[in-house]
Amino acid sequence: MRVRPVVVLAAVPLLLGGCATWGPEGGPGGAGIVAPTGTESAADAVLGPDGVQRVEVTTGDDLRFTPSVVRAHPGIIEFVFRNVGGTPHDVRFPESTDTPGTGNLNGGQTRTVRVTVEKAGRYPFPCLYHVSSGMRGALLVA
Amino acid sequence: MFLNDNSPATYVNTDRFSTTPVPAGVDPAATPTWRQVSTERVWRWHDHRMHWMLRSLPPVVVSDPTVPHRISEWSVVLDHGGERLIATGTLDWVPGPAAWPWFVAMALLAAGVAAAAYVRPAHRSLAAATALLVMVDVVHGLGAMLATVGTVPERLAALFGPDALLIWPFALLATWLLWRGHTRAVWLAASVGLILSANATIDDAPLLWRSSAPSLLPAVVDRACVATVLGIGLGLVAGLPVLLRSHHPEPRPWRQLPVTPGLAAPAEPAPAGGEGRIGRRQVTGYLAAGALGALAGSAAALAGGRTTTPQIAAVTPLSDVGARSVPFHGPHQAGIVTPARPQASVWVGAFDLEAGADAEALRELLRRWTAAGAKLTAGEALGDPEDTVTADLGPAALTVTVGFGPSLFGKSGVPATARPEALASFPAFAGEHLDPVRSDGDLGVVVASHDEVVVAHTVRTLRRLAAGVARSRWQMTGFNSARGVASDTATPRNLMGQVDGTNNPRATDPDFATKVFASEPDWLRGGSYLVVRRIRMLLDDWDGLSLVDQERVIGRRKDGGAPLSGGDERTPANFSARNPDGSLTIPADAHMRIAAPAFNQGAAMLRRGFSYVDGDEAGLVFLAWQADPRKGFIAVQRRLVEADALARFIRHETSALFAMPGGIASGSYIGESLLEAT
Repeated sequence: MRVRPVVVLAAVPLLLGGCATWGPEGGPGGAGIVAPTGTESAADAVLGPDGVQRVEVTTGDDLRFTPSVVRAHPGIIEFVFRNVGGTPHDVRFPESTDTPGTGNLNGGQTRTVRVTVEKAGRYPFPCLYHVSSGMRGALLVA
Repeated sequence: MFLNDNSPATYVNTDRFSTTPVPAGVDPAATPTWRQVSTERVWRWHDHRMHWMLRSLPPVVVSDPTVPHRISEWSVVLDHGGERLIATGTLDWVPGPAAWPWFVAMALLAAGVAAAAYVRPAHRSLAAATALLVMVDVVHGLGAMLATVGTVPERLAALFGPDALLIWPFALLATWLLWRGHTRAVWLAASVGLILSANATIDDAPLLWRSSAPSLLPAVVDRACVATVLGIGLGLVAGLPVLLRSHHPEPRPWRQLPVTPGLAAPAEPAPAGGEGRIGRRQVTGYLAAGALGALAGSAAALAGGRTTTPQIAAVTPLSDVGARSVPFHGPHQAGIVTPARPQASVWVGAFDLEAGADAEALRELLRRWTAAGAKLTAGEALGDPEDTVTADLGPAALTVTVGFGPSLFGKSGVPATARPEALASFPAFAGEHLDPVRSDGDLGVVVASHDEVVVAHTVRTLRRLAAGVARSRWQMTGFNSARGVASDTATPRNLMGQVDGTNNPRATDPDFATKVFASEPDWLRGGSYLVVRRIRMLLDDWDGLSLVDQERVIGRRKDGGAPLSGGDERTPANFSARNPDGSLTIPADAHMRIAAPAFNQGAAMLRRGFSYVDGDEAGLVFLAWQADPRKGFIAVQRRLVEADALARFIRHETSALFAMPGGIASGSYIGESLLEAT
């Protein structure tokens, strides 16, 4: 009759110590490891009647751009960066001469950035704050 | 330490996941708004460049967590008083070891403890197991505490964990009671085992299968500690029914123990007036003794942790001294406020123009010096393949600073009318016997670096480039402690053994620029007047004074540099303080009193002195930078020759004054604003 409470007591640490308490790195052998939710996605900038190609890119607390790859043709490309999370970002266009980027973009803010690209190529737009955590976008001009 | 409130990083770095909004108007390109955040030499911040920001793992790690991955490489650029420092590092995923051997060890240990409850002396075996459990838990906590950086409360929190302070005293109590043969104490021991093993499971179990842990213990020792806590803790829980079955507890006294609610001990109310074996006061005493013991142990560990810190913690490691460079271009010439601490080696010299040198020759000389200065200070070769003196060296914070003496004006196309009034020979100060051969000059040059070979080679280069236009008039060399030998932030000592420069204007002072940099005439805007004096120290006479008398001459203590009126080196002096006998604590003729800006209409200058030794002679190559020598050096020196007690122990031997123009824009040359205006 004394065995039952002991079994319950012995089970408590195991119940408390579920993988959730051990952080994203998970349990032994990588069990319960937390995979990223943000995935790579691509979209085309849409040509408007005024000849400007437009695309909306959202950012959030997953430290990813959605879409993360924007396809466009040479010309003027207008980005609308919409920060739908709470984390501030700062999108840069290091290879563009006509804009430095969005500047600081707090959660809930939206900013429009125009870049002019004449040559085909891959033009990265990293987040200054989170590039080391993989927050990189790319403009593919073909 | 100051933080720029105008930088987004100030806000972005506030928390672990960077969710603090950046206030509107914060602009990294705008003038910094400095706010003091620390009065110590250390300031820690959370820099998001060097860790993984997401609550999930990098995709590459998720794809195969069993092999190492390079996640990112980071670098943080620091500007330390004009010197560019780069901190670099990498973020790597390193898989941990297999955990199953530890699980096996844990199971064996738990089974062993439970089995010990079967065999005599069961009580004492369980008492020993409980004591061992606490000891191992303390060792594990100490490892975490010693690795914790922060305040004493933060470190103590790391030692005690969430609730170990509350648990350990009960464990000691259980140990003592079990040792005395009280069967019911096994309830207490099992409760302690349950709580500690639960905590270890939640907080510490990942150590068993991860590659690193926040602990100063070797990883294998730390893992053994965790496995032992888990093994013994679960063993005590398993031993509870075993002991209760084989030893029916005495139906007696220690029920009356006032047991903290929440522990699994029987909670019957104590019979009033019961004759308990252990009284309430005794129990309180045991608990207090346990807590005190834990505190004493952790305090000893903290103290021990301190002594392992080297005393000169602020010394910068040497590996990058050669690679350091000070920007040549900028709002002011390098070598005045940059680098923050004067370099180890200096050459100061004056040139006189050759008789036939015309305006174009002077311009060409200054263009050549500018080009050479820009290249050499950046550590680049000048393009002469035979020039190999510094082929294997970095610039070692080389600075080249150039300016004009009063005698230049009226020569080589520089109109006499362009000479500012402040740029004039000094009045004769009483008692001075200056050597005219080693004083004054048309052009003044200061070359400084942490490395003497770099200085010598730079000087040689400048002289070679001057050939035919200007010839050397005089020169002197000086030295400071080498980089890495002395603390970067401590005030240097001169050859008298006294800290020298405590009251220098500081770059953080609101009026720093108006004290150091000239605002007129136009060609000198952003520049500074340099006073050069070779001041011999009569060290034999000085050493003949007692320590007390030396301190009275200066007005500061010799050991830490504190004013004689008390405090530490940076404490403002109380010039009206008096000794018990009524005399002034800082004597009326003390050097620090006579030289204090407060007694010289605020006169101040930025002194960047170097020591010199020349055979038996030694002293100070005194270099002082100021916006106007009439409100700097001249004002102070007038007072010093009248009243300074130090005057008996020093001798000014040479003197020169140069107007050093403002910063050199890329594409222009030193003094262009003067020479092109004419």
